[in-house]
Amino acid sequence: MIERSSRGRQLAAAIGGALAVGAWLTGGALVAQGALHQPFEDLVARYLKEVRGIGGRAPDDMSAAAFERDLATRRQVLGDLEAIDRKALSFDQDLDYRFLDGILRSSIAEAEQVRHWQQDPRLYLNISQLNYRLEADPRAPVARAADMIADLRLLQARIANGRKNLVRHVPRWNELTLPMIDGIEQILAEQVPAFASRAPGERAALLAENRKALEALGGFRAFVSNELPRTPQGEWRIGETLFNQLQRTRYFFPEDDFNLRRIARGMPGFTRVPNYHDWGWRQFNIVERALRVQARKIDPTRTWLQIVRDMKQDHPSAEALVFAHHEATRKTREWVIEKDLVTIPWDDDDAIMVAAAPNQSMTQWWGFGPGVPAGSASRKAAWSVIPPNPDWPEQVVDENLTEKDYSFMWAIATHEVYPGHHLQRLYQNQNPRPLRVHETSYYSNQAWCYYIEWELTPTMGFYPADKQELYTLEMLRLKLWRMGRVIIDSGLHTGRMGYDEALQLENERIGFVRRGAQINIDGITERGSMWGAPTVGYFEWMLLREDYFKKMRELDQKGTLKDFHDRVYKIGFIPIPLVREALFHELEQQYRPRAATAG
Amino acid sequence: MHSTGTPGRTRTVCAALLAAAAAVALSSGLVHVQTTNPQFDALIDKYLLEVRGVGARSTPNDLSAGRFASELETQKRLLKELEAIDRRSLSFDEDIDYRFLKSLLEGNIIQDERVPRWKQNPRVYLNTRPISYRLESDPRDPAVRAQEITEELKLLQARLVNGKKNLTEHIPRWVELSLAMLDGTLAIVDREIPQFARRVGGGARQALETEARKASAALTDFRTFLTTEMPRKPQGDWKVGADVFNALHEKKYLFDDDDFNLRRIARGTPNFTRVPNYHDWGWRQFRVVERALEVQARKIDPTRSWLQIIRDMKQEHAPLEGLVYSHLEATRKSREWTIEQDLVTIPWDDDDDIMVAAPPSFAMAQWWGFAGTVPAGSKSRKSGWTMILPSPDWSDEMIDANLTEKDFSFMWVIATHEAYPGHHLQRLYQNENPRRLRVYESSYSNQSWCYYIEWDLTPPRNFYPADKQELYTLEMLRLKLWRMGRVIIDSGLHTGRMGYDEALQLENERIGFVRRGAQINIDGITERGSMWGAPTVGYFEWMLLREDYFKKMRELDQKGTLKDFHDRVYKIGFLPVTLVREALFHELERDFRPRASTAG
Repeated sequence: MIERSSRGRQLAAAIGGALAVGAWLTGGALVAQGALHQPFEDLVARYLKEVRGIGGRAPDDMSAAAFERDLATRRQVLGDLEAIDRKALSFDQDLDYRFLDGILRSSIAEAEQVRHWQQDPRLYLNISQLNYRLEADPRAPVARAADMIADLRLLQARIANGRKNLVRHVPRWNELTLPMIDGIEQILAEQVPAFASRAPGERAALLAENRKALEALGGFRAFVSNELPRTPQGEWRIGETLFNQLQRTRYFFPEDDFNLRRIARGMPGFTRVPNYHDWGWRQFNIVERALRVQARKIDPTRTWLQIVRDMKQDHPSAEALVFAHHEATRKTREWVIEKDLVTIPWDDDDAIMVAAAPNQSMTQWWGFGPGVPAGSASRKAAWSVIPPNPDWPEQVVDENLTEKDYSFMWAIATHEVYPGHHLQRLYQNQNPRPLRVHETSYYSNQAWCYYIEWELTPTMGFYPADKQELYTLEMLRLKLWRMGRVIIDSGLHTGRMGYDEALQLENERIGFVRRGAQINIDGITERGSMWGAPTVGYFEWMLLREDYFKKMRELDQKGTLKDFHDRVYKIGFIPIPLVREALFHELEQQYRPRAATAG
Repeated sequence: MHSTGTPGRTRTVCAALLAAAAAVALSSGLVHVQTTNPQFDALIDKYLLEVRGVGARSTPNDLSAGRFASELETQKRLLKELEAIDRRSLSFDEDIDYRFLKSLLEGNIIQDERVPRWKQNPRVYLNTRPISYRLESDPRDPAVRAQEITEELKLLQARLVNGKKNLTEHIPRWVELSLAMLDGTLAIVDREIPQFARRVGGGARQALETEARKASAALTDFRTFLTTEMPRKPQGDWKVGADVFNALHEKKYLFDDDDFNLRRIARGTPNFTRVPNYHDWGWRQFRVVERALEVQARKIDPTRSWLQIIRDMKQEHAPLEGLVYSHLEATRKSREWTIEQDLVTIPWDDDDDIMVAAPPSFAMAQWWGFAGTVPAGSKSRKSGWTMILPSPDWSDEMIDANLTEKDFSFMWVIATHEAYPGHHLQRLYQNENPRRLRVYESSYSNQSWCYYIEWDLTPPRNFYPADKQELYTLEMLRLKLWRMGRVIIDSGLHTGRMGYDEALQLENERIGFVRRGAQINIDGITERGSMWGAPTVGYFEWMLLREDYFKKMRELDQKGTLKDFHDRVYKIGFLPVTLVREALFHELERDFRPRASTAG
């Protein structure tokens, strides 16, 4: 099904590629539906509708009552979930049961203990839907314009609620909110009116709502600048207890799995703070040593950091930044096919590079992975780079460009696009289990992309041949960065590290420019435990790959890398212990169907 | 014959045809099953059943003192029965097996009578390989495996009880190593078996869990015995002594004590295969290889010594989390390379070798790991080359040191030795050998053949990455030096010409192993006198045989080829090289001059 000749491709399309692809995706390894326990399916549907808002629910206006209602709904769904007799569930339902249980317990704990909605103004400024409709939605402009009007109304309602809800302030978060407001104002002032002319029937209503939204934004700016700083200072640390709870309930990290300890060089209890923090340092030191070894191969007279900094002077010009990445993006797909790494069973899929919307200029230093919306029929995605803001000083623009250099681009492209986040989402949208279409485990999803970035890409001919050693050095630096995330995430949120120390680590030992490091760390302050967890997940995936081959041998089969990958993409990126169970169950079913079920 | 991409039904048909073709290819040519003396074949069956436990054994070996005694008596009786057979009544292949079986029995009897390790070594009682195989690799239904693991656990308990009675001599280092093995065994019994038990239902699960609990208690009790009672026993001596050493060289390995051609190719003094000359010959070869290392190092960097180059190079290794998979890739590549270089026929398409992590009981059994493990006589052709991974409980320094010895250079240099065409392929051929004795027994020559692969076949045939050719050739020479060192250490330690610390210094300072790795290497040598040096002699025997094969082919007016030589050796099997030589030349005579006399 991959990369056929043009005639073959036309023929396949004519036969009905969608049907064939659907059968391939749902056949074989993936999730036999079998006898489903209907009350559980109904509960999942209820969760998706009432909590996630899929398939009809009043839009979330982010009022205090809405937050309380959401928490109450989650508690109620969890109670109903607990009332289900697990023995009545099919194998796949039982996996989903535990996945949903983890999602609910973790989100309830967070909602109860970390009330960011009372201290982070940016929560009320999410316009990703509006941006999608403006720039990427494949529907007719008239339909999009109608939805945008609703988006703008919702934005106003949220801003109004934000002013009521925000009762504490975190100075740095306020600081980051203002450029976000600038960016949104720019979108509303320039892009929405330009779009309105493409939908004449909705133009007047859209412009009217847009004016109101602009006005609300102006009011919110004044609130954030003048009133919020007078509220008591907030606290963003989530603390050790919640941190460890999330390690257990959200990521399903075992506390003392010997095989995981072995592969990750983990001390007993390394997935829980405080040991987790120490383990981060241990891994950090290991990768630092690997960087020194790699640097000696390139130039024994310079340190690895000097080599990296010199290398990063070689970057695309600002005007070519998007297209250079666009080419790398397309190349990732070709490379996956050429190396036969994962099945790509479509021929209407694509990913491009685009410049991020202006409201995102301070949310990340670099950009975001591509994302076809969950459940979308489209297979076209855009990886977003945040271009330097023309209003930044020259020095900041130059520094920013050094971190969007060729080495970073080549080292990260496969992580972000194929076979990384974009391909993950394409598979996710075809998953026959509704929960897995709309929910993914961030840590498992991201950890898989670390596996792609650190393990598959450097050794399989993706980098230009004459840059192999240099870009391997950059890859190791990116690995160091993620080991550093374990240290910083656990350190900041449990009080073992201060903001400035974290900044120093990212700047002086990992090699980010100061402003980039700062934005990285800001992200970590917002979501305790989220940024370090994928690093553990990487080791879980590495162990699972080892064990897949061992299992295949036990079943008297020859395992292949592609078969392992295909099975994982089809199962979906749920917490890795659940993927492990699903994978081994399927292998047993396929190759030893009469034996017991567990693998 | 090697493609694996045939789809669907065609593939099934092809597989059936291939299997048939493979069976014909394997049994044609060399080994002829002409049973001319049923009494001899019955004796082999008896040996396999009563000594090796192949087939329906009445009672499993509980390692009691009585059992050791009766086993020795059985072997003596079988040797007498063997000697009573009129060799003139045997076919050619039977006569080869006659001498092979005689070498096995005589070697075992010498060892059992003179080196009773079962009184000294607690590790004898802790063999859990069959349990680990059934847990992790056995392709049969889990229910069948669970039942057998339950029996194995009962046997383990009986053995531990007997170990406490039998162990009367104390060797401190062996107790130390036993405790590490015991910890690993406990981890298997306490953690892995209960996990496996969940894969089977009902009574079988309960029986397995119950037996695991009892085995765990027995292991804990054995630990107490080792730490409290063993140290009070008289100190044991692990040296086998010069007489046993030489007797094994003569009877077990069938080393000629004065073959001029072997002396010529091995630069051997008269009687170099017997101590004390053997030890001096080890040093002579050691220096020869050291000089080759110096020459090779100058090609790479004239400013650094070969040891410095090696130590720098070994800093580049896979991260621990990628260690197993990087070796799995090298393993798979060794098969492709064997086919591409047309070195030996691989007549199957369902064969495979992967890399796996060793069970925790092996943590101190080796520093590196060991070759694949398709069991003798198994129908499966899937094997796992096994790597002992650093324990997470080791210090960082020790883990780092261990990883430097699992670096890329070692991996590339050793992969063909361990996988294809080395130990894994040897075992696949062995399992197809029509002579039963050769399915279940092989000799030092097996390892020697892998030295030949590692030192002679691999370096010049593009297996190493092109840009690493010179560096990895340097590592290959170091591994050759290591095996020359084994001759020195094995003969030196066991005949009193070298102490443990001297051996350690040699492996650490002159061969370049990290200290702990060297220590574990040397521990292995103390346990098995004569075993570790013998394959080095065997390497020279194989090199001479290859020379002589081409000479013989010319005499027969034929063009010899490397692949033909290899194919014939794999089919004959890895008996003592002297016997392979006879078999090979007999076959060549028969194939190309069938009317002449049988002798080669």
